[in-house]
Amino acid sequence: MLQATSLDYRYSAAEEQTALSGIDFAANAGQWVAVMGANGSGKSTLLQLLAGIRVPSRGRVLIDGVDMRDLACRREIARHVGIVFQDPATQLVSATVEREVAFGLEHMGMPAGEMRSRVKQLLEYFDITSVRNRPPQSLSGGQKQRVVLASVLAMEPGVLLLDEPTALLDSAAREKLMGILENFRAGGAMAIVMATAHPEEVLRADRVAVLSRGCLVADEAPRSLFSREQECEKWGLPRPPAARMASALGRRGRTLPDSPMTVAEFVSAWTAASADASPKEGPRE
Amino acid sequence: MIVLETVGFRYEMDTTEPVPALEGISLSVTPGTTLGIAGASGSGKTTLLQVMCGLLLPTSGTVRVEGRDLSRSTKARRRACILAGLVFQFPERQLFEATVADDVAYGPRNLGLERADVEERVRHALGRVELDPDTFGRRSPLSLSFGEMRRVALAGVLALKPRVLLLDEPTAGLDERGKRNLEGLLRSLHEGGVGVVVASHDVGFLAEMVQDLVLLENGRAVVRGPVVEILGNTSALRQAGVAVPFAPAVLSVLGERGWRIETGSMREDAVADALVRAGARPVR
Repeated sequence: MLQATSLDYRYSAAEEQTALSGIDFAANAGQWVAVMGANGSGKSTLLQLLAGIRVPSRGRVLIDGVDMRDLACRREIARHVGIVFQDPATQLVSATVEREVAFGLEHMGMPAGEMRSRVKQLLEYFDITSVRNRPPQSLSGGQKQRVVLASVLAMEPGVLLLDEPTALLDSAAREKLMGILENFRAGGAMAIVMATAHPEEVLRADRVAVLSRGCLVADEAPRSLFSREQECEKWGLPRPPAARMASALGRRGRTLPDSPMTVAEFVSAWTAASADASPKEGPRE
Repeated sequence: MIVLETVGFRYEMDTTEPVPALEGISLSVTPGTTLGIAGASGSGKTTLLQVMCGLLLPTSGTVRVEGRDLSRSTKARRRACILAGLVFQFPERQLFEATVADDVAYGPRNLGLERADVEERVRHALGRVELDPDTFGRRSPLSLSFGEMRRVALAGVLALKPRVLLLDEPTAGLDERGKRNLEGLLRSLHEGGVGVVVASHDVGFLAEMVQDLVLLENGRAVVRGPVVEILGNTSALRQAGVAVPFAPAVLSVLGERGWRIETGSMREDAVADALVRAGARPVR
């Protein structure tokens, strides 16, 4: 369980503007929490505080009740919290994929035999066994990202933080990643916190936390957030295309029932509303 | 203005790669064009843009810019880089001067323009991307946010007054407001007679922005035509590994259920109008 209380952060003492102020945030094992906000709202800074990469100017981050500042070193933090950056290329350090995945385990001092079998499992799970001897930098964006995920998850952290993980992925790689995250949530042992700009991804999350100019302005169910058109506009958040289209129809005097959020929901809402408009002359089969 | 004839490209260092990065691509771009390039990762989008502006020379076929074969003349190739300005996917890799103003001035200075002319171009280009030349001009490009870096990189290309603008994944990392501003800017450049070519996996953005679309699959142009038709062909999109945007997905499902919805565009407003028309009247 991850808990942050009254977090403030400023990049330098001289700066008047705080990058984050008064943030209270929690994520439990088995929960998937999305973080949204316009460029510069503080999403990456928040994730870096939760990962222990930055130390808050005020407030605390607790992992399973232990203050992050009391964890002796990076290595110990890495056992509890894993972070995946937007551009996976920036966190790949080893000469081969296999060594990259083993990197953290080696530093933890895991016995060689145990480590080999753990690495083998991870390579298979993330579908990167065939490229295990290649340099990570030579892989596609989606493959690089799975290498980073494998090496972060090798440590079996209780909290997984992801900073816009799909920004550089195509649709197939994005779906694959979403499937992997669904599995972890279903496993129930891990809290997932993911910053994203894609409303379709946010809809999969249990909650969405919204940052605006460094403040937490909402923390609620994704559907409830996306049905608030004016607030989304004010905070610079994209809404699902289905919700936007429903609003566009509303402005044209055709209000749809049930605030649709997906293609399927939109189709049934629109069909229902259109059948009302011309009840006797609907579509013929 | 840019004409590609059966262009192929193979990265020399990658001899293990069995398929070429591009193969048999023929297309032309004029200042009136707005063209989108879509395709899965590794389908050749970036390579195609780099071939179009002469940054890479094709390994087969020809690229002509204003009638001149880029493989035959270094001068033509140098000129092509100015006429067809490329904005890279990662703006921070494109910025290197100490101040924003110097960065934007780099290209015009290299053209050997007069100092006053360079300054005028810098001010104008920064204005176009909505960055105040007086406050932003003196800052270091490295102190900027991602969205601002994007705009400086774009200004640096605009300062060369290209006749065709090539953009590689221009919406990646931009928030909602940033995307809308970019769309407005590209639209006004196009109205001013600049050709716009956008490679992107953000097909929703392409649906709003371009008239024509090319789908790339393993370096080949599998389909090309008006964006409304290509996006309507949802099976071709899936085949090419491209996410089907919302409007075509809805129209396709409604089509399967017997609704016929006519739209001349996949833009949100046009589709909303079409849905209102279809829903308000008896169908078929």
